[in-house]
Amino acid sequence: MYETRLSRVFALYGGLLALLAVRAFTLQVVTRDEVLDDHRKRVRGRIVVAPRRGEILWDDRTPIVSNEPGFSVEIDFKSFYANRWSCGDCAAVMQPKQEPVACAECGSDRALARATRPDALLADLLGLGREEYEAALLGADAKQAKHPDYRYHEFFRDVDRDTATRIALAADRLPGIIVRARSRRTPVDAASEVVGTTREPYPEDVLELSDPERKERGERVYSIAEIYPLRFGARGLEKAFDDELRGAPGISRRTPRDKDGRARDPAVEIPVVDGVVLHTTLSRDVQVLAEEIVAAAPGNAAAVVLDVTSGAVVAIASKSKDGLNHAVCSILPGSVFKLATSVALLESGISPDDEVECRGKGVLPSGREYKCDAAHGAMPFVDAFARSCNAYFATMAERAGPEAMRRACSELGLDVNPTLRLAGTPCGLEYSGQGGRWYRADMAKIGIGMGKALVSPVQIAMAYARIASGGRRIAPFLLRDEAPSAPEADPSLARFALLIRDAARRVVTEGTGRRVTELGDVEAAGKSGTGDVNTRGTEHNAWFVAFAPASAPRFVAVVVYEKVAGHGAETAGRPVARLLAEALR
Amino acid sequence: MTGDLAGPRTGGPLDLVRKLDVRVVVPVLFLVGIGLWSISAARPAFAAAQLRWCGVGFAATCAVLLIPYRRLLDLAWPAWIVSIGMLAAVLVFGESRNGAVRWLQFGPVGLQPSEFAKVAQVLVLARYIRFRRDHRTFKGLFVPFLITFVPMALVMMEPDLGTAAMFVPVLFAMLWAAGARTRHLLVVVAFGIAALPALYHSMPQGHYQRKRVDVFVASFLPKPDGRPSAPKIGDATPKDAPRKHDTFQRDEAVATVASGGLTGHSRAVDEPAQYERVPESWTDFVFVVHAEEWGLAGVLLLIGLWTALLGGFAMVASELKEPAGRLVCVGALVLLGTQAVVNMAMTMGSFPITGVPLPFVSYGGSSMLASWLLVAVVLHAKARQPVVFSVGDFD
Repeated sequence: MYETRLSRVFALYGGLLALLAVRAFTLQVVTRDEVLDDHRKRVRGRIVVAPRRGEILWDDRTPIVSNEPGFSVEIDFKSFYANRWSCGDCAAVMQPKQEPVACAECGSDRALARATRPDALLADLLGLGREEYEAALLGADAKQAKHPDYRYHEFFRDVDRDTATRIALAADRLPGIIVRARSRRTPVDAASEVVGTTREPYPEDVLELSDPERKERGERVYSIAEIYPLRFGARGLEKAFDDELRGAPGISRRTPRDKDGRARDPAVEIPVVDGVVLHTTLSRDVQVLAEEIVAAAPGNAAAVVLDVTSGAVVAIASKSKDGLNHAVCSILPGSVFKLATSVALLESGISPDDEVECRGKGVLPSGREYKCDAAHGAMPFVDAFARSCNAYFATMAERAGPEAMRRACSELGLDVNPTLRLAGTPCGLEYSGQGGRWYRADMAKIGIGMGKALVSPVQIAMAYARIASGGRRIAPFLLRDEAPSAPEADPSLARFALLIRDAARRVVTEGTGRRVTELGDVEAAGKSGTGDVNTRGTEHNAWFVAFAPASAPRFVAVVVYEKVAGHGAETAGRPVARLLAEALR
Repeated sequence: MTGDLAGPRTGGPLDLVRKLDVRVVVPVLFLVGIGLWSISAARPAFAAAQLRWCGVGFAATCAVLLIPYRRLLDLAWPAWIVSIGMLAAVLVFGESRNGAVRWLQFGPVGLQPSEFAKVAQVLVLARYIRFRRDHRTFKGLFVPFLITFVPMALVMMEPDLGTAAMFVPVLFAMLWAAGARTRHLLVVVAFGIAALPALYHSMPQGHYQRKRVDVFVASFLPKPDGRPSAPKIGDATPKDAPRKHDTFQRDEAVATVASGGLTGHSRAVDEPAQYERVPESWTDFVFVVHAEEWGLAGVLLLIGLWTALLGGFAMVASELKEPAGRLVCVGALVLLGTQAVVNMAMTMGSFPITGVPLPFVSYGGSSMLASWLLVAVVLHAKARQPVVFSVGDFD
């Protein structure tokens, strides 16, 4: 019996040791990465190093938005409400557990009194009135109710440096109040629509970034502590490039002192990755002007300036109430779309000398009615372009046909809307639901920029830039890193580019834009457009697009005012001239 | 029934050394070597002290070997009484470290009487049970249990629940090996298990021992899927749930063991070792140092050494005919085996954290000396085994 029992005792311990070996194998081999990942997220002494959100720069590399130190005042209610004693002699405030017998600062035992809560002092330092102060206190109290496990709760944010210093210096009289430094995104004045804004993490951000399935996709799974200090893009480029701008928080761990008792730097477990710097092509002065122009518009408006040689967006501004950037939204173009009709008719073999008789109002060869601003008489191409003759372009669009129009639109880049990652809508052929199909019956309207013709200001700027550059396939870009290689020339466009440029110059010298003298000052060539928004003709989309100098174009500018009473050139011509002048300066 | 309990005559100390059982000595020396290496990595300043204690332990072993067998057993009761006295003295004069009163300070030397009480318990139980048969009755279990529970209760008062718990398996194993009826022991075990909830609730709320049990139990409870509930950033954890600082030591230890990987953690010269974050990484948690530095290969070597040592004890126990020697071997096997298993299991997160060191490996003079003494009595029983004529086990 002894031998049996002895062997069983040994077998028991042998079995336990074997189980330990299995446990070690599981820990060190099978689940090692999982355990270490989990540990990284849970252990104390872990420091989340918040990434620096990437800056957004003007073309000259000065920042449009950057991060600046900011300060917030936080409150620990337990300490704030706790019993305190103040010294009548030296005004020191003490917070011992028991009532002190003497002042800890000056040793006086004569005038120790229970201190009142330092609300007045705090309100005074923050420069808050009674109501504001109480509102802030209530806000912090609500945060405490929501997160009772946190010690400090934000009481007042975006405190300036001087106030923060004063509060910090009064720390002995403000128990439970701390000043915490927080990075602050500088507000943007110019380019606010393009650059957009940032926001605190939303619950859905937390859910997305902490989704364990990210690991299966090879992405990092973040903990709340890592997500909490991040800022997320809410609109504009901040939103479009949020992943890149946001960066990735790093993880460091406090390390114990070394064997000689010296403090050591935290060990970096995951290096912090700061957000990338977005170097835009925007020019500060032109952008400021563009913002000013759209801001002055009575309703929605957009302005775009492109560099003709490269396609770089020099300025892009929008004013709208729908949260979209109207520089990349579909807008009825009116006559600025006649550029596409021009290319279509010339490419389909129609001679520019072929004339169409304009009687101001009449019937097209197809039997459809047309209406023009005036009775232009017999019009060849250049004159018709300069005076924006609807009879000519409606007739020629019908002659050229939908295929030629489609091809012309593609060559001019009007088939797909380059939104530049801003919030926009589909335009042009992209907008048309049935694979961009246009029918011959649509041609009379499309030919004059009405009906199914819908384009964005950026598209129009690109189309005119292609003509201005001699037919090169210019594509707009907003970031220097995304600059395409030197655009090639499109032979079809190149054949007629000079002719159309001359026609556009005639618009300014003797056509619809002749009254805008500022256009002449910058030697502009362009085209006006008036898209009728209602059937009564009382509301228009007033467009003007121009490039300058006409002899060697460098910039193209588009301005559109939506739903205004005025016509294209008279309303939008002058702002375009200002933009070009500023860009050329 | 029995022969000369004084043991055979030996040819002197050298002859005794030759008779030392290599199946026990070799694993012990390797374990001591691993311990020294790990301590020198974690706390180089303590390595010399550990080496000194190792020397003291080895010297104590040699001294024990020189004592005649019968005299050694005669020392059992006095040793037990002294250990009880020391445990009582600890409660009165003991030095508090880490919130528990476990040490008696003798000048520069601090001793932990509970470590020696365990050795005394093995000896006294072996002496008490060796020629008796009444432990095969339910009533006869009373005295062995009393012998165990007196020091155990004193250790629990320190409080040192982990060390106190070590007395129990030793008692049961020695009684069982000596022929106690299984069903009697099972009844006691059942009562013991039934009393566990009461013991748990008798611990004050927030007491560290209770927290350790909470942490251990919580590790087996279903966890949320790891995804924070989004609208509740920073929500409070339930008040009774283990907090991060409660699980800190276990979390760090488990992660450190895991970081060892297959063959050990390689790191840059300036990079601090993960085990530096583990509190007590040179004493109770010395296993993490070894596991991180040598990985699974080192852990398997350590477990293999322990298997070899316990196997050595078992082989010696099976070769002995004299009942007290047999029981001493069983007691040593169970005591050291339990400590080793519990220590490694707690380090790998499979057992609540207790203050049980890894014998021969953890830093600590008392533990080292007590472990050597246990080995000494086993070697003594083997080297000086008396001639016994018996017809059956414990007859």
